[in-house]
Amino acid sequence: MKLIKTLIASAFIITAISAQAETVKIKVDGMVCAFCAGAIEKKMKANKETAEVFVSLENKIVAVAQKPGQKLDDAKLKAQIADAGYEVKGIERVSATIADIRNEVKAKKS
Amino acid sequence: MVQNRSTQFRVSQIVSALVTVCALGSLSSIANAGFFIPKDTTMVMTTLTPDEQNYDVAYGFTRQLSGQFGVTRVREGESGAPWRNVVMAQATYLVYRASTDDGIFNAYVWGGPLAETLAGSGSTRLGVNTGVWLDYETRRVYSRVKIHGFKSNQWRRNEVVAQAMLAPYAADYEDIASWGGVQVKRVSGDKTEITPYVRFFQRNWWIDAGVSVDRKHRNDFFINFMRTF
Repeated sequence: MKLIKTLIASAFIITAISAQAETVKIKVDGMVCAFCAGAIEKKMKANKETAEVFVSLENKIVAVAQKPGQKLDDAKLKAQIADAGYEVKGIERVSATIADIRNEVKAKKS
Repeated sequence: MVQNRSTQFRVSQIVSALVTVCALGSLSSIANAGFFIPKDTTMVMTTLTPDEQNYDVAYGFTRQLSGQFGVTRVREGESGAPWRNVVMAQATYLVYRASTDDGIFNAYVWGGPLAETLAGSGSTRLGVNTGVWLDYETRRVYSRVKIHGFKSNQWRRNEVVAQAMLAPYAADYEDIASWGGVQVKRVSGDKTEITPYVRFFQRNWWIDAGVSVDRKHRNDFFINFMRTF
């Protein structure tokens, strides 16, 4: 019985950790300057579900970390970016944190 | 692969932007007019040259439409010529946008009313200003051409401005981007002015500085500052 309780508790913890770590990674076309990126970053930060945003012009990505227990809607994100004047080429959910993605981008540069 | 993509108003943002413009005081151009602003973004820009000072505030209403208000002080002809004060409002419309893997092309048009007063004349005349702006940019190359016309019943001014810039490295969003370029400016009734300049750009601000190489304008310089909110 103790083992079962431990397993269930572990499953909850793992689920909670993975939910916290989920980040939406969006590939955006036309985002070539800080002026463009700034407009998109502002839109993403305005969402109440957003915890953190990272933008890379080099990789043409906008990464948006969700607040724990909250979920950003893909369609809404796409619409917001289109509304800012840019085109979404792809959208995926990754377990990497913003720090992971930032480090990955830095590693690619060096 | 070319894709066609076109692109609210918060009083507090506008007020804070205006305060910032005023605070920038000594800096200040007609050269700013026509700049397109992404939706929900407020921009302040000011340029200083010996013959022109300009203060602008703009706001992006939709992905295709932005509005701008500017106050300009301009002196035409010799350095002793009287100053002309111009107050302008304009709507800028993004007509066409095409993005490629590496860059983006934009075409804008704008227009709106103006009120101009020549110092010492004591009278203010109403008129219009209209223009077109084409630009293409990548992370290493920037080019643009702008044509801007001003007209009242006693004043007419046409400007053609071309800019080309190169970046020695492709900066990312969090880096400071450094650019070097040249601006060629032709104002009706005046000589063509060629101005090499540099730009430093990071996230939501940039600053340009240049000095004219033309004999008439040799002592001319310009400083341009932009900030978005």
